[in-house]
Amino acid sequence: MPDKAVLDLSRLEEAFEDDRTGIAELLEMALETGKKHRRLLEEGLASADPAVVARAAHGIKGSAGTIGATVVYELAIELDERARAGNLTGTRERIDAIDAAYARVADQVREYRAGLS
Amino acid sequence: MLAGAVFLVVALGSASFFQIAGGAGTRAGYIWIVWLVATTFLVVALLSETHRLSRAVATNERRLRGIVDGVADALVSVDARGAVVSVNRAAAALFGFVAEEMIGTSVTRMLPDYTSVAGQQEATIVETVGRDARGTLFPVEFARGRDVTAGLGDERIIILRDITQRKAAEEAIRAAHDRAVEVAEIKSQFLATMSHEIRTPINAVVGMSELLLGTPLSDEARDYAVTVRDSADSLLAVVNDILDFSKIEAGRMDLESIPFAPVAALENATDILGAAARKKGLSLATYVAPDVPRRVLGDADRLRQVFLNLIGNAVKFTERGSVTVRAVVERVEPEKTVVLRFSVTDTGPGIAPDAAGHLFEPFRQADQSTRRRYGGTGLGLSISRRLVELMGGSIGFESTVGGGATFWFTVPFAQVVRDGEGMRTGALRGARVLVVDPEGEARQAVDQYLFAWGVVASSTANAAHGLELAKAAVARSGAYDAVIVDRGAGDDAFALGARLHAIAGLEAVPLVLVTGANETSSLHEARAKGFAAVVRKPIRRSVLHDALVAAIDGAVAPTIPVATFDGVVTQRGGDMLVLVAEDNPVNRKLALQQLKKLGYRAHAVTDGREAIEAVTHGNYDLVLMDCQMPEVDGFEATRAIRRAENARGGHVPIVAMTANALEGDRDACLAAGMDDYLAKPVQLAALGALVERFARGVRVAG
Repeated sequence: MPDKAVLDLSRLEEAFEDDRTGIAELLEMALETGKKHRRLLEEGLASADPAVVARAAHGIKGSAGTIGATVVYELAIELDERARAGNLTGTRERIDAIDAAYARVADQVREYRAGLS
Repeated sequence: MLAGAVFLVVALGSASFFQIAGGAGTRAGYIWIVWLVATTFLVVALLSETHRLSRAVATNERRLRGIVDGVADALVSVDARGAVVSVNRAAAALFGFVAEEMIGTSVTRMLPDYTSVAGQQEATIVETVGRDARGTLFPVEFARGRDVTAGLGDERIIILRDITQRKAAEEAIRAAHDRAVEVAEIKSQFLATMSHEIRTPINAVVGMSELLLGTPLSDEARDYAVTVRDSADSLLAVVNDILDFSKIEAGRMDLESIPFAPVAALENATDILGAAARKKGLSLATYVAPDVPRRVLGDADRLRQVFLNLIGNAVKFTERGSVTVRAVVERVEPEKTVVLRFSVTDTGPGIAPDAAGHLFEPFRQADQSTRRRYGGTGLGLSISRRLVELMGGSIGFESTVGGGATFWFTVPFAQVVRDGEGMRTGALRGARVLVVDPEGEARQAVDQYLFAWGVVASSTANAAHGLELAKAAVARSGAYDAVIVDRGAGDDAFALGARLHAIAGLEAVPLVLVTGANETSSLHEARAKGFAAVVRKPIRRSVLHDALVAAIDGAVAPTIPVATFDGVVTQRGGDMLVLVAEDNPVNRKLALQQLKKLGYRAHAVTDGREAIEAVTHGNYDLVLMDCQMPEVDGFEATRAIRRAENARGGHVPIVAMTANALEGDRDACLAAGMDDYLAKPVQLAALGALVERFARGVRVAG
């Protein structure tokens, strides 16, 4: 079972019950969506456009919140709020932190998948 | 004197010169001596005059110096090249120099921005920056004095004042203000979060325990579930009170101005509290004067909130007797404004005069034992007062200890339609009706309604007296057109009905039964026992009217309105179809899964445009709308859907799914035409409770 501090599956388990394949699919989907938003985040930072950063962070926040990736979720909320206020200072550090947290989520997802077969 | 001495010297001098030239011996010597003395005298006089003048100059200078050095402001004179010519003591102290060190140096050493401020008008004051001997910069006020003409050209006098402290004070004030604004912001954000983070789970607890109560339960389990539901209900009430109060305090309570029926707001409140009154054996009666306008402009929810509070208090504090709610027209003002007066009268313990003074203050209750005995936040009356005042009205009460209390309030409303029932009241004009009702307030209300409709009514509290009246009426060939019998009249209302029908001439008189709200089964029983219609308490004006008309016309009586929600559990709508509009595939998938799990059918679209399209062509019972979507967002999509509905009718409930639980978001959602909103990430229970509410057709906008 995944580490709750990194990936809290209770919301998904509540909805999917025993359908662990369904949960795994949703987790994969969240990682894929996360990558897409992660690229958008980089674009936003490169063009110094807070609106793009906010949109990307909002997307990350949504997926992470849904799958229970608590740390990523909290980081993304902060980034979203700062970007919406037009503040891009410290974005790089936060992206790094999100990457690190995401990597741990990805590990947990891999483990979860491995546990299925 | 000096002029005389000069004359003497000149005169004697020239005389002695001629004498010497003329060779006049001793006489010439004498004149010469006199000349010498005069000259000496002149020199002395000149010297003394010079000395006196220079002393006067020195005194003046000392005086000026004293003034200049005594001035608290720094004075510096600067020559045309920008070199310091002189400074006063304050200037030296201001910059931390010895005065002599400053003389001759460039003024920009002390005032780095001198050139930009030097050219300004005489006697105007600007702020600039000063630099002291150690290089520390500090704010100064700079004023240009009058230029003076001196040896090499004009000298400019400048006056400087250190404003470090004033600046610091200003900065402190600004910081304090910013901080206060920030705190207020944090507070309102906190409240917004509260509204979700507390209300959403409580709503879920209430909703789920209601569902639980609809399942087969042991008596013990049912008992527990009822307690859970009731506790959650009161918790929700407390939270709502606190939120409302904070909102009003923060000036964020905005009142609506839309047409609504004040009578409906009042009757709705009495419906809600009817169950509690019945539980305590209290009679809860309403009376609405016939001239109360059918529709007015205002905020129905807030008006109802005041009703709920006042009626709720009356029910809470009254142990036996009755609670009567009245609505009358206080006065009609020009410009189609009508002032309505609402009152709630109870037969409770009354309010002691010393408690009366602070009854409407927040967090105050009549006394501390009240708090222990009845609970509550003590905010209800205070919220009511503020709401009434926001609506432009006033609130007050009359009470004597042991003699019950009447809380009243007045509110001015712009009138939409006046006396809308006028068209229908004709149906009962001239009808003769007998009322048998032991409850004074209810009977009085019925009497007044009947009077307003032009009905000739006789009324009594006593069944036996009612029978006598009926017999007497028949005897003078004036049989009644209908008889209204309260369930509580005599031992058995049905027996009374039978005895009325047994009277010759009254065999077919239509009987209307007035009954408590929960006695739904009695409708069939009443019909079987010869009653034409059943009206439940608290009696609604329109329901009584329609029941009487139907009974007298011999038509089928209108079915009694659906009972209040307590005890009524609807099955989940398996045929309910939900549309999910969400751009994030992860959230979309989970929402669909959650709905599936809850037993609802659902479709999904990925942006606002598709949502508009789907709603236009599909037949959805509910739309879950993400607010932030690319292209057409949730707000815009909702506005478009509402616009289309305005044109062709209908109203599909739209619930926002928002990740930012801020007050502004909520307002934006409601302003766009959404009916409610859900915080993301969406909790299964919250979603369940919400869809459940809409499945029942109940709109609860937070």
